[in-house]
Parts: sequence; structure tokens; C-alpha cells
Amino acid sequence: MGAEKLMRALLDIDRLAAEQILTGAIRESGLDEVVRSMIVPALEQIGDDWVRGRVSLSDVYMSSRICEELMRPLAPKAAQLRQDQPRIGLAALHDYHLLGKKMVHLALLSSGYAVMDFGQGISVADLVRRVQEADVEVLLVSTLMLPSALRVKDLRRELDRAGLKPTLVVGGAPFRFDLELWKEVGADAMGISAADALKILDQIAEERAGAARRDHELHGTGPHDPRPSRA
Amino acid sequence: MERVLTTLGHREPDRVPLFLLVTMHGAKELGLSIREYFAKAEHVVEGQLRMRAKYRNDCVYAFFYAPVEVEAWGADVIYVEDGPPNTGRPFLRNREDILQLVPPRIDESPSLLKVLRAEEMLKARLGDEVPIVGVVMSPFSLPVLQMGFDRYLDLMYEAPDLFERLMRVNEEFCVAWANAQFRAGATAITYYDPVSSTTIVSREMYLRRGFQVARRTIARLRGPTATHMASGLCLPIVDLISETGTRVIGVSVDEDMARIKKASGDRLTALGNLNGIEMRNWSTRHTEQIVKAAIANAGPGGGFILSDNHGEIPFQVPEEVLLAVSDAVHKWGRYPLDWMTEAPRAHVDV
Repeated sequence: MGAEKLMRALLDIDRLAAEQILTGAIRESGLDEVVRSMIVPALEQIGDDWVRGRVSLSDVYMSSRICEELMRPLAPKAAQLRQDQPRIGLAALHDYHLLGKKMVHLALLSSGYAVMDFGQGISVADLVRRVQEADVEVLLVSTLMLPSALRVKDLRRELDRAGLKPTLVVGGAPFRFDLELWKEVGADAMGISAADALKILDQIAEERAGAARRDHELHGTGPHDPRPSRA
Repeated sequence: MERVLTTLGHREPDRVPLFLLVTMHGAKELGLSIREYFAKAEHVVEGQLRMRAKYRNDCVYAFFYAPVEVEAWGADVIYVEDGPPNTGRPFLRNREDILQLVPPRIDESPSLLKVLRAEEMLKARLGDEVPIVGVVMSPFSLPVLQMGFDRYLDLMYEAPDLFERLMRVNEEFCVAWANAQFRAGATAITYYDPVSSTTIVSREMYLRRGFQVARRTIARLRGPTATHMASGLCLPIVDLISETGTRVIGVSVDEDMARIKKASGDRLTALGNLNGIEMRNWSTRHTEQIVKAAIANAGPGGGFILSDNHGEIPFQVPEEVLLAVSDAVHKWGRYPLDWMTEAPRAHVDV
């Protein structure tokens, strides 16, 4: 219910209403509960609605932006809610188009994830170096142009060559229009929207916790299947 | 030309027209790098003529690359060896820069002059044999390249006065650029407007912004236009698009071309909607199936041009697939489309 109210305020670009809803909910239920039961579901629903053609990309962007702005003062506290989170890196490989990357970044920050932003237009060699230096465990790569998407294959090869094994998650238009492309380039998962990035990270976090708890009872990190989101 | 004009009138010509929007493949034809190829009008002209002959294309495409316009505004163009040239860092760094922004002069912009020269040469070689298709970026979509997508959306929502000023500047440029292309020999102009797609903005936002810009701009152009959303969705606004004065709509692979035709009241011709990204890996057999399905869907009654859904075939699509597209439209696109009503056997995928 709270998530729905928040979602409506965000889609109306009503920053004041969104702020009132969040402030009241945090006072009543605490930050942890608000992030998990309001912000994450609202952003996921908006992202899914975009995939289904029910809302526009500008709605998704503005919603994430408002959420991130409202949550910014609480970011240090929010990040503490996810103490089990992996070290996350984010980059737009080769491309200078950064909207997709920015939307993922805003959605993750709003949801309590700490993200290292490696920028846009970054080369494979530079990205591998950044992954190594920061000991990245989950690498989110955004692309808009097909040649950039195909360079993920080079990225995977160079990561392997350097002995680096981050979970490689890709997103962007080429992967949306060719649902097999993420496998072709050697990624571990693919997201169609920023909401998918949230789901994938939640899945990874859950698996990490599960692995620790249940001695690998769960399956390994499987690729996120984008097909349900396209239905 | 007759074939295209007939289908634009929503009548059946002799065959479904094929607009294979190949740009970079011309570099392969000439054995040049993409950068070398686009450096000279002569290369593009020769490439387009060779590809028209090879693929039996029903148009030539005078589009060079997306940043050709912002290059004239002072933006950097970044070349890659296996894809379209990309726009570098946006040149509008601050919103306030819009207040001082003036459009470049067409006749003083080398990047635009080479396009005009190509169109003049194509016109001299082809006359009215096939349409020479030019391209402009819509005033509403150009800011993505001028200032970056995120900052443009911020502007759209937060600074209506500056947004309006930017539109007016861009409209002047777009009209001058399109009309210069018509004078040079372009038969029609593709009005690329991906930001107007409901993939990017809502119908309400389109009605308030992109639609108004399109209507004002297209009314001042001295020739016909095709509006293209570059893979974006258009069905929820197709009624409005048909009121902008455009004749053709580029359709996304995610949409049904027959529905688009119907929703426009047969005022728009559907251009599309082969998936260029997937096309890299199509077999000849699969290509034939896809083309046949597109023709069956949108071909009856005319008002349909077979093309890709983005307006630019990726460099990675092999020649064999492009030849298979052409073969399939020549095999299955001949009117009347009797095979659709013949034995059920004819309906099954080949």
C-alpha cells in the first residue's frame, strides 16, 4: 500500500508528496522497513511497467532521481542496512551515453546499495584495472551501442586473464533487442531495466547469505532470466 | 519511385518496397575504414549506388552518421572501427548556455556540406529513379546529443523557458538543414524523433512538447517526411503523429505494423520492422520466415515499406543476411499477395 502511494507520487513527479510519504513512513516503521517495503518495490514496479510499455523512460528516470534526492541525507544509514552487500562497480563501457547507467545508479543508491561509479566511455583495459583496484565483486556494465555491447566479450576475456571473477551483469538497448546477446558476450546476467539490476543484486545478496547459512544448498549465481519482464 | 508512391497512397504496387537502410556497409564495399568512408561524399555516393545494385534496394540513403549535425554545432565525433560514429562529450555544459546558443550556418559547416554534396551527386546519377532519403534529427530529440540525455530530461521537467528557447533555436536549424537537403536533391526527409516515442516520454508529454515541435517544424519543410522513433514505441501516439503532416512512421519490432496502419486511419505508411540487432545471427531460412511474416502482417493494401526497425543496419550484419532479406521480399512481396489466400501450406513458415 505504502509502495503504491509512493509510486503514484513519483510518477506524478510530486516531490513534496513523495517526501511526506517517506518521512511519515520512516517515522512510523523505520528506515530499514521503508527501503525494503516501499522504495525497492516502488522502483521495481515502475521499472517493470516501463518494460511493459505502461510508463516512459523519463518517468523511470525522474522517479529514481526524486527517490535518490530524498534518500541522499540518509544514504550512510541506508548503506548500513545492507552490510552483506557485495562490492559493486558500475560503468558505461566505451559508450558516452550515460542515462541507463545513471538510472541504475540512482535506483541502487535509493535502495541502500553502495556503488562505485567508474564513469562512461571507459575502455576495457581501464575497466579491468578499476575492477582489480577496487576488488569489485559485482560489475554492472551499461551499453547503448551494439559495438560497445560486443566489447563485453573482450572485457570478460581480460577479466579472466587477470584472474578476476566478478559477477558480470550487463544492460542496455542491444541486450533488450537481442535476448541471447548477454550469453554470447559471456555475461553472467542481464537486466532490461534499472529494476532488474535491483532484483539481480537482491538475488546475489540472498545467495551469498544462503551460501553462508546453508552450505551451498542454493544453486550458484544463475543468470537473471529477463523473459518474465517482457511478458 | 512509382512503387513507393503507390504504397504511400495505401494502394498495392507491383511489390512491397524495400528500404534497406545500410550506411556503414558501404565502407566494406569500398574497402575503407568507417572513418575514411564518411570523410568524403564521393565514397558515400559510390557505396550507396553499389549497395542499391547488390541488394536491389528501392531507395538510397543519404544518412552519414547521427552526430553529423552536432559536429556542425562544435561537438566531437568519436569513430570506432566496427560501428557508427558516436557523439563525444555534450557541448552544452550548462543550461544557461542555451541563452547564447545560435544555430550553425549550413553553408559554413563542412560536415553538413559533405552530406549535401552526396545528395547532389546521387540526384545527378539517379534522377527520380528511386527516392533519395535524407535525415534530420528532430529539434525535440537533438538535445540528447547537445547536452546529454539526463540533463535534457531535467531541463524538460524543470526549466520550461529554457526548454522552449532551445526548441526554437533547434527548429530554425532543423528547417534550414532539411530544406537545404531538399534543394540538394533529397526526395524525402526522415525526421528522427526517438525522444517523442512513448518508450521515452509519456503521451501527455509528447502532446505538450514533441508534438508541438513536430507540427511547427514539419509544416515548414519543403518536401515529404517520414517520422522515425529509432526502435521506440509509437502506437499510443500514432494518431497524433499522423497530425504532424508526416507520411511514414518507422515502427519498432515490439509493435504490430498492421495495428499502426489501422490506428493512423491509413494516413501513415508503416516502415519496418526487422530487428537489426538480432539480424546479425539470422540464417537465410530464418530471414525468409521473418520477412514473409512482416509482409503477411503489413503488406495487404499497401501502406507498407519493408525496412529495419532502427533506421540503421548494424555493421555486424553480414551481407548474406541482407541478400536474404532482399531475396525474400522479391519472392514473397509481389502483389497481389495471393500466397496468403492459397492452400494452407502456403501459410506455414518456409
